[in-house]
Amino acid sequence: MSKEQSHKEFEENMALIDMNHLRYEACESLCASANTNFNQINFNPNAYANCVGGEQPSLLFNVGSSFTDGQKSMIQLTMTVNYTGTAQSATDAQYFAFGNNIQNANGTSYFNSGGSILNMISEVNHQSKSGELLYRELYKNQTRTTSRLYQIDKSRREYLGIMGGAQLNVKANTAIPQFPLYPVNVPITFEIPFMELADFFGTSQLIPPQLLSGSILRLTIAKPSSAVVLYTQSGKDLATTGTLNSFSFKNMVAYLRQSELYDSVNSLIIASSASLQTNGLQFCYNTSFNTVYNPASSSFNFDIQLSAAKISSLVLKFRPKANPADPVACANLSELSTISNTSDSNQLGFTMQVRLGNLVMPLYPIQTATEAYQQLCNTLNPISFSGGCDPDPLKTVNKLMPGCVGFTDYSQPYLSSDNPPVLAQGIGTGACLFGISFERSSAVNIGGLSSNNARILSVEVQNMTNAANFTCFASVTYLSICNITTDNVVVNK
Amino acid sequence: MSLEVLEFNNLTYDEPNSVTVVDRTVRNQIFANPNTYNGLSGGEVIPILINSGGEYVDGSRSTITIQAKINVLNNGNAAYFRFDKRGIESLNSGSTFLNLISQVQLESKDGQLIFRENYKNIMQTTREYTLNQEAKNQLAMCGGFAATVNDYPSYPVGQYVTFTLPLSLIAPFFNTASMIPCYLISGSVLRLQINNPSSSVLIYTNDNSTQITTGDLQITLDIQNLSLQLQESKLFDGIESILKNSAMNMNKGLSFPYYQNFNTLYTPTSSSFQFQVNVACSKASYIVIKFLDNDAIYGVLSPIGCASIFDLNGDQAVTDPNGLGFSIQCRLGQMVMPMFPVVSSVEAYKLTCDALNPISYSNTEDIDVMKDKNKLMSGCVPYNYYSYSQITPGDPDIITGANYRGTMFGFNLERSGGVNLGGLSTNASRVLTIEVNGLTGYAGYKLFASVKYLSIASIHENNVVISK
Repeated sequence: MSKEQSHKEFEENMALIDMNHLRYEACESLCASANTNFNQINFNPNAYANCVGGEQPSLLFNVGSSFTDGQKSMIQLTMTVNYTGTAQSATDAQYFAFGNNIQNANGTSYFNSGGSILNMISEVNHQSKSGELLYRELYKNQTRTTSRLYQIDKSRREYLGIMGGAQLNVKANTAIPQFPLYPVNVPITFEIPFMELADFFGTSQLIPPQLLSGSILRLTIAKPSSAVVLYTQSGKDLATTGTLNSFSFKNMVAYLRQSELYDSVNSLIIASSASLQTNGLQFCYNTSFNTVYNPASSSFNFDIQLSAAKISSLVLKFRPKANPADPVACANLSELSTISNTSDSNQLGFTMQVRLGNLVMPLYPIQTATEAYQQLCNTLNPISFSGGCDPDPLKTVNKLMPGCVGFTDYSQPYLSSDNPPVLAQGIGTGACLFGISFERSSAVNIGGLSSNNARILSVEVQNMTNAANFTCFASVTYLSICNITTDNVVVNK
Repeated sequence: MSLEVLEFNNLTYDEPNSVTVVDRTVRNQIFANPNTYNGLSGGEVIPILINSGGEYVDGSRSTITIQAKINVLNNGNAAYFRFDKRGIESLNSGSTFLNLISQVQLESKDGQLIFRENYKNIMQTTREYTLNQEAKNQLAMCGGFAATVNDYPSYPVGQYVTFTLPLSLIAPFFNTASMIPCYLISGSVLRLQINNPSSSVLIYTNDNSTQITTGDLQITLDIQNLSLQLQESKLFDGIESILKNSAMNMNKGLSFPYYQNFNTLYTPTSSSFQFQVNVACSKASYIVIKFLDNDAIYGVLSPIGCASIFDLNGDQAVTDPNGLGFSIQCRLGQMVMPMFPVVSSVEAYKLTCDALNPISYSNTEDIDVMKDKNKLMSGCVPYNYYSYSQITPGDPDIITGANYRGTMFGFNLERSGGVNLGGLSTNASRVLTIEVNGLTGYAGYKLFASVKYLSIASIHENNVVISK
């Protein structure tokens, strides 16, 4: 055997040993960070008294030369719900929550609305140092809140209790999540992970200082009445008297997880940023284009005016125009359409299809709740091959599935506690979204389709009987790419 | 400085290239022909021709939609039906719409049997160990247990109800990361054999909580609008031609590996017995068994729920609350697994979880330099649901080994915990045997066994050959 053959055989054997995790060697650190710590940056001003909606706290990212880990960074703020009672202790509010814990007589509940302190942020925009808009997401409170529950697992949902989201309460022996109650007129501190605010911060890549430093994040405060639910002193009834005046915020601060890289690593990245050949650094992230449409009849088409090269998904949500019972919960199927109690328990009550240029998706109209749910889960699931049964030689393909909303939470036939019980169909828990994926492959991403003036994205709905009573929020997720050079930032989509 | 270090640390700032080879993906609907069946009482076979043309099919995202109606012919009080017992009594049985399907079979265009699984309804329980809670909750769309209401969903009798059944539940063949090539799937016929509806669903009166337990209900099933929703992709021409050339190569062709299950049944006739599983395959992954009450067919008990350890001991408590009361071991040729008989429920539970868990290195504490080893663990059957002691205040008798109908016994046949396809072979001269000793309650139960093994479909231009 020649020396070359022997060397090749040795390499192959070592690769096999590696694959079987049988390499017994001291581990080598591959870390490129010399130092990592949390840094504190205050909003300026960091207190806002008596906000009634429309105020815009802003945060200047003064991060110096450090790289920022968006996934581990967060905003902390202390919020007071300013409320004036009428001295009627039985009906005045004593507590508030970011969702409605009271189940309706027909079985409708709201614990999967995804409500949290994000309810009070109606818009997020982020501008780079050179003035370029990195992203701008309207209706933040209505879009990301609910769809997030399809992308995370139950443990993560419990973790998001730091934002005031619904959680299982073992002490109260509840089988379903409940929104935690907080006293009114008392300052309460909450944390908002940056990645819950925008996908820009949810990447595994550290955000380079050339992009983040000097940029400004602006949050627009929503109307107080559309963000919280007030409860009486029993904590089990909704308050019906008194006035919810405003929110007050103080101690608004960002905690950024920042890393100093080794000089050699940093210089390599800076050289790339300054290079004309490489077109600077490119930072990729998803952005959402959110818009609303008010249907005027039971059958309607509406166009989404977005021009983007790589669209990943479209998610629709319907909200009642008048007197919503919960700040962000989706309308039930039974509310959107007339669903007879003597017909199919898993019907949709209307049909829905999406058109992109000359392509319709799916090729048939969606007519059942089960199909709509299946499509939505496929659309929002960020994990490939979850629940797979692959032969998977290296055990790397099969994964676990995310999602906190089971099908009966999406829509179910509900039987009341009367004797005999009364049947109501199409009842949900505030999470009834509709989604379509534009990715061409379920294995790899960035295969999304493009949309522009000549290839318009439109939604077609037929026979949604009560459509005129609802507002439709549409959220399109698409790829954005920041080209970062030494002097400026350019965003492509 | 190596660029690799930047990559490992996620510090490469480049525009990502799309590596998709898919030109177009559509979701297509194919109706079964016929797509309406009335008065099904069990044994009927529903054929569905998978007419997918020249497209590749993503089985894990494809579904079957069925509108089903349960009719109760001889009891006017029947108002609602569920696929299992009301409440949490059977939460780990794994019951879904698949209770109504006793056998699944897929035959290729040229007549090769791609898979055939008997007792599909009964062996659904294995899923409880391989999924996580989030995935289990999603299966409420086909009648599975709904966690937030702690009950199986109930549906009105005599009304059509739509169910969406992911194809991945039908067989592992449809649940792979690899899309199924058109040469294999196009023109194949999926056959679903209907199980007796009387032993598939439980019937409740109009208060939705009182079960009709007369045991002589005549139940039939009507089906309409039966259709397949296939997630189909057209590949770029260049890629397609490479695959086509490979398929036309007579020496090799395309190979599509997948798992399939060999399910079988044994009726114990004494308290100690040996039971041989007559399957011949070169790579068996695991064997799992469950015991089902002989009376489960009468529509009174859980249709597919596993017997508890208490049941199997003839309704007798064992001294050790975590004891098994009997012993169980698996033999393959001259090898026994484990080397000692399993005599405790804790050991049986551990072995079952290890055998069925599809995720490697779940909850390890590796020095995981690249943070890619440590994973989350699958499974919806906690130990206290597998076997728990029920103590009634004031009653000195303790019931040990009670369960929520998910108690199975599994043995891993893979040689490595880190990599797959290391499973052992079994054939006529190397028989897979289950040995049970001291099972006091044997007379009331049937034993179902499932062996999961690797199959490979070799696809040539004109035919398909399955090897296992």
